[in-house]
Amino acid sequence: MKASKPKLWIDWATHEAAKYAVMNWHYSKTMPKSKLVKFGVWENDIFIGAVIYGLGANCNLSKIIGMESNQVCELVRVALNKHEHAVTKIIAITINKLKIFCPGIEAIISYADRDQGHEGVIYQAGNWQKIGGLVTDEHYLLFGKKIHPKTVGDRYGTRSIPWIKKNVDPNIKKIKTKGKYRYIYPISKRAKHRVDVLCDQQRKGSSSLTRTLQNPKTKT
Amino acid sequence: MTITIEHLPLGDLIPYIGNARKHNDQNVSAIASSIAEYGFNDPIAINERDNVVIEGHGRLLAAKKLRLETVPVIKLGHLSEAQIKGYTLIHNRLAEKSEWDNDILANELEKLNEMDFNIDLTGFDSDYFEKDLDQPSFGAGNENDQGKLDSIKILECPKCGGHFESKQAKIVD
Repeated sequence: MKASKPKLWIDWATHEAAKYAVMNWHYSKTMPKSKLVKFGVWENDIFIGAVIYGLGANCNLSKIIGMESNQVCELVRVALNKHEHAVTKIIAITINKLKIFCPGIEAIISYADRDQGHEGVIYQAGNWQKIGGLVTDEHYLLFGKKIHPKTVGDRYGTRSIPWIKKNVDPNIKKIKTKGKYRYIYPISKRAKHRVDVLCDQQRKGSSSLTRTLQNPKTKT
Repeated sequence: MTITIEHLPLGDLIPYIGNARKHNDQNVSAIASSIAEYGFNDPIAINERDNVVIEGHGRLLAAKKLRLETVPVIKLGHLSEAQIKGYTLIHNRLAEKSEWDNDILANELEKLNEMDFNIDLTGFDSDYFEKDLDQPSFGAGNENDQGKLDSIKILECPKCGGHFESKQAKIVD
């Protein structure tokens, strides 16, 4: 007989709990600095992780679907320990709670980091839409750890390689990443329509999509 | 270089005075249980020149606890004095630096449990995943712990007078 799954409970998480989950169970080991909505996940009353939404590092994210920055947020961390319930289900529950807490949010963006072997299977299973091709960006290898240039800038006040070589890590270098896939989950009808338009353009290989994604200020 | 296993009386082995690794009673008992269950399969390494233990102090203490007459040893004669000191440290240090794959570990422990094997003989408690991971228990937070992502705080730069959106968590909406 198949054993029943443990009782799943999803609720608000404190900053401390969310940080613990990120530092222990997320590959980045970095807690985002922006404004956040943090959900905790418990199975049989044991804390197994956190799902965190934020404003994301890129302020132009919302422009991809022609919206304002307070209408689009980013799923920034899914930090889970060993769990029995599907990640897709856990994310879906947090989205429903997010909708109530932040009714002005019309779409959620997230990324599947190919450097971590993620292709976005959990997003595909949850009806997220893949928008555009690979998003490639440059990272720095600082003290042997892959780190985003923005984080370097925040930490040291500059992204200058010569300065960091001289003052921080003489072995710092730029590295090419495998890139990330961008996924969007539309919440409102308006966002759904815009995402559908983007997907149509994508299917047709329209150059306007490329323009939109390369220059998010272009109206869709 | 060939290494042969010999059996020496316990009294012939000399613990290294500079051994930095501590073995408490609980640890020695666990090693003794392991030897009793699985056998003495990991010989103690000693210096060929003076029979001083290079690595295996825990096993030596466990053998005394079990009142064994002899223990299996390997005699190392190819290491310099400095290398012996280094090897004594790295032998313990390397094991510390590796990590467990908790998914595989849980699977293995579960299989052993199904086979009615005494989990304590693996060195893990049966409730390892609830207790030994040192995980604090967190209760739920509340709405006040969260930021409203759909509201924007417009800030004015005190120097240039320009306006920009705040994305910082600490600024109250």
